[in-house]
Amino acid sequence: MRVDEMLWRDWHAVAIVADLAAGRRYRTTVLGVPVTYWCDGDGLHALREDSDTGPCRIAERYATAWICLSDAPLDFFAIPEFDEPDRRVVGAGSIRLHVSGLRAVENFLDMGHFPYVHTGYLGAEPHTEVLPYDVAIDANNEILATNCRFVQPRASAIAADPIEVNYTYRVARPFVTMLYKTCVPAPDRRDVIGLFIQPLSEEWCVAHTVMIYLDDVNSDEELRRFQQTIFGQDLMILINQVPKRMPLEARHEIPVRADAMSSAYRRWLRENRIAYGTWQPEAVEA
Amino acid sequence: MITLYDYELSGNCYKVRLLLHILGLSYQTEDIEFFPSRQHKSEAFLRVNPLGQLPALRDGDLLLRDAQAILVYLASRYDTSGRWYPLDQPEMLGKINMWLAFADGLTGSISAARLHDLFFFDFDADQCRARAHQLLRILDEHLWFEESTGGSWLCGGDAPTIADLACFPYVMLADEGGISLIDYPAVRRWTDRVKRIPGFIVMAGIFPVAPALETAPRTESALPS
Amino acid sequence: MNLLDTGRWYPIARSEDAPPRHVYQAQLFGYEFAVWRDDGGSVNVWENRCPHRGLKLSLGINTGSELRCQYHGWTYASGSGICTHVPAHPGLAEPSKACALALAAVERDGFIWCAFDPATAAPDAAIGAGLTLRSLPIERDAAAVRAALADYRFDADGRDDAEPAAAALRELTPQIVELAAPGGAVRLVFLLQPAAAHKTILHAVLAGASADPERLRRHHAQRMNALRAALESTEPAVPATEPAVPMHKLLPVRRPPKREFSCRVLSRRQESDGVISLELAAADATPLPVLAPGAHLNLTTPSGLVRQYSVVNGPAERDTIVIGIKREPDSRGGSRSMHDDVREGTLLQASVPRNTFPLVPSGKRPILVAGGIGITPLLSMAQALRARGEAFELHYFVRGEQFVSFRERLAVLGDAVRLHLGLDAAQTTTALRDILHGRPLEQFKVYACGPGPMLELVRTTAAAGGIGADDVHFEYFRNDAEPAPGQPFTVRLQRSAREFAVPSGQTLLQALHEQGIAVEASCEQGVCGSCFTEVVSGELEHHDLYLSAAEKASGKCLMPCVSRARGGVLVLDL
Repeated sequence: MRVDEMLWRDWHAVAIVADLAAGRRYRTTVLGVPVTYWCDGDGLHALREDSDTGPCRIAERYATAWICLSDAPLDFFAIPEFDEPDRRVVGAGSIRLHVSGLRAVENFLDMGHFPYVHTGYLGAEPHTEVLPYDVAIDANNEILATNCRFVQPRASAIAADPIEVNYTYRVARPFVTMLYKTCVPAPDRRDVIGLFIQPLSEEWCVAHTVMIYLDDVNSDEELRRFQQTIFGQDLMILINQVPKRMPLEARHEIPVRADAMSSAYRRWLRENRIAYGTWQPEAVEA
Repeated sequence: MITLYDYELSGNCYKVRLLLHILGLSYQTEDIEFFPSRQHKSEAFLRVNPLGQLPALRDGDLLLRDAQAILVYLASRYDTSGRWYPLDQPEMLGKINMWLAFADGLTGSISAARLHDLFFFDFDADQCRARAHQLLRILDEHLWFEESTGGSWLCGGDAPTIADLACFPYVMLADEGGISLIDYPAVRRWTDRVKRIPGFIVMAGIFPVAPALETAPRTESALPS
Repeated sequence: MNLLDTGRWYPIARSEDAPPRHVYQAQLFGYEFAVWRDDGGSVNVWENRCPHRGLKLSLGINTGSELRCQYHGWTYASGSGICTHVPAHPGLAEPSKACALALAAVERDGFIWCAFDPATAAPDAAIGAGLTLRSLPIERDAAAVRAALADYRFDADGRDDAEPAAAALRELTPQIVELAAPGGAVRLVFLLQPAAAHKTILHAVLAGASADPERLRRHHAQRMNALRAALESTEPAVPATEPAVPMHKLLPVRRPPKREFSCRVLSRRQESDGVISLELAAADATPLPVLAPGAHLNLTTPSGLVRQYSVVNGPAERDTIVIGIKREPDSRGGSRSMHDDVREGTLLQASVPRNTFPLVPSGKRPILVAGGIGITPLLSMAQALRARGEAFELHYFVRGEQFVSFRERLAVLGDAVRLHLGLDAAQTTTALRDILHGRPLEQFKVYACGPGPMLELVRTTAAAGGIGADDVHFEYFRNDAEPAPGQPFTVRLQRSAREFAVPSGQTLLQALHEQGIAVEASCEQGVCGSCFTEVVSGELEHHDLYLSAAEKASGKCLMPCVSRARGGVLVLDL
């Protein structure tokens, strides 16, 4: 596998389909490559605008528009919950950030920051302990963190009292991650939040958030408002991380046990030869 | 009952939430989703504010738009201390309004750069950032001179006014518009002081500060018997 | 002047830029720094980057003794920069490498100076006293600003309408320039701080002037603004970029400050029946670590067991550390050894105080509840609260008058302290109900320390009174300095043919390091993979979170920071 081959063959989110105005042309970049896309009666269309000008692949999955720059695209990852008939699918908007998309994914996987960044929402002192959880790579080369537990004062737009939530985190692709969380109305099933990161460049990204929920009480706006508040709290943190590209070596950024998932993610990126959006100090000093 | 037409991530709405909380006023919220559905441009909301902007405030029969105007109203009507907008001090009122207008300039520069960077608004971000730095330089020099004569607040009194609340949010969120406050140390010290105002609340992207160091112990109040 | 000299001292801030409880964001040669002052007045100049996940420390909180990162709440002690608290794991030791990157820092002549690898003990330039003028960041390189200063004219009395003659310029150092007004009595000293390749902070101090300070400041502010405008109009601003060379490469190679230190017992006192206090001083010239209220340290008792002791100090007490020790009747030897074998002059090994029981800033009134020897951390908190002028209550439950410890300290706290003497379980319950119930909710926070059954009573009584679980903080006197359990085993190094033993109380990584074998390590908790070591043979016991199931089953590798062998011989490919 060549460096970043997985990324060049992968599908990258560019928009939440419901937010697109029919006929209007949108310009953006994917891995630094300028593209234009639009939707009309015939569906979604996209063009590369660099030296390889011409049509490029675009597809709709999970309420999101995805672009692939390769002629040998990877298969899409699976989210079976999306097809369940009683699910509500709600996009929570697309927000652009000045940081490597890898850091945005890693932030999503982290619980240790809940009491400090999401005070009163996802955590509060003195309940700061991150209990041990399990991390494994599955047969699809995806990372799963299971049995993640945290005490939360306001776990979601629905929850009124503090509860100990049980989370599963999943990384399907370098820029694709999902959270499966305790579902208050149906305790044997789970709500899914997808964070689909679009790598505009190595230091800029767009975070597209899609909720695949069982909730039948809260309006789309209420669900979005909660997610946007949470994301707004993370935003100020993400844009103030240095360097903007993510180091993969533990020498530079020291993890603790609570960072088992993020350590597994950084290791997985190294093993899958992902360099895009990573910080390589040795190369710079050459 | 006061109704605030509100959006969580709006700095202008936060100005009003801040004063409402500091004054201890109860109110209800009508959420207007700015992004992505642009509910502030909906027909229903245009009937509340024909300019299609947030925040707006309803209090009885009164309907107001514009964050600064709302701050003036709430302070004038409800502030029993009379310090947030001292109606009996013309000089202070002049200064406060001068800085309320300045706050509008911060909205037009810092907030515009933020809307461009985060939400893809079609503004000339470089121009907005250049303008923001011009304003921040002026703000920093002003606050430095206030500090040098023992002052802590924008309008020179010994208590904050609504001018401080009006200028605070977008200054605090400047990073989100690609504007660093590193060159504005007096501004950064002032933001610490604003955060220590009793009744202060945060919004997404704003974090608390450590309590001030008291140098002289106050007298202890008696324990309940 | 435009190239960083790691041996030189540079001005990084004015003293007034670092007031208490503030974090100043500074810049030098394109590197960002978090500059902050602790409540004792000492200044810190740290890389503006938390070593955990890289968040700028300038977003963090200066608690007066530590800097707390806004991302995960990791706290770093003033002075050493050592991480003293990882909230996600209150029971685990912080990674020894987790340390803020600190430059040498001194305060002199109204400025804070820093150096990466100082050639001298302090900056040699003498600026002298004078009126502080406003510092100005200018978007030009230092050489251009320095050249422009030759044309700077000012009036000695700050009269704006005067037409001043040229000033006589004298270079004190390449970065410090003095202009003397005609007559020579009034001198303006400029310091050029090279913030970045295309940015200079121009500091100025005016000496010998007698006119009204405000007028002088405004006069110079006007002229410096004009200087800046002229300089900036000739060239477009160059946006800042992240420096190519990471800061740690510019610092001398040094190990992170050791957590361990030796201390000498200065005095020993009988506080009450069964409780002694010890006053500890540093055994050498190194200053003692800065202490946060509620912090404790680990002490190796003369019997060899390691025990935790909360520190009793008030915030102004920085020269010694005071701890209280109760003789535990069922002690395995720790407290007995401290009571019987420790006297004035005894040398003890201690570790940097950790802060797992912090006072959480919340705007709520603290109610401190102490049972027996649990008074120690709460007394430290109470003294800190008193020093800040914050209201609080301290309830001290003891078996009887003869068991009351630290009487003088309690006396100073006056009415804030309520003693509860000789109460049985039922009476304690009643007393706790009186203390905790019937209060306006959301306005109080409870901090409790003492024997387990009492803390349980506090917990249930607080809950019954409607106090949220978030507002009740406990310090259980756990002993988490327990050594790593596991059987002893022998290590054989295949490539170097060395052999040594790893006892029960030591990790394999510690043993390797003790043998002088350089195995890289970072988290020391089995999660990062840095210490990955290849195994030739041995029956392995994996405790890490890094290796896959297949890797663990292969028996070909392990993480020595947490994993071991199940007795016998472990052969490593080292």
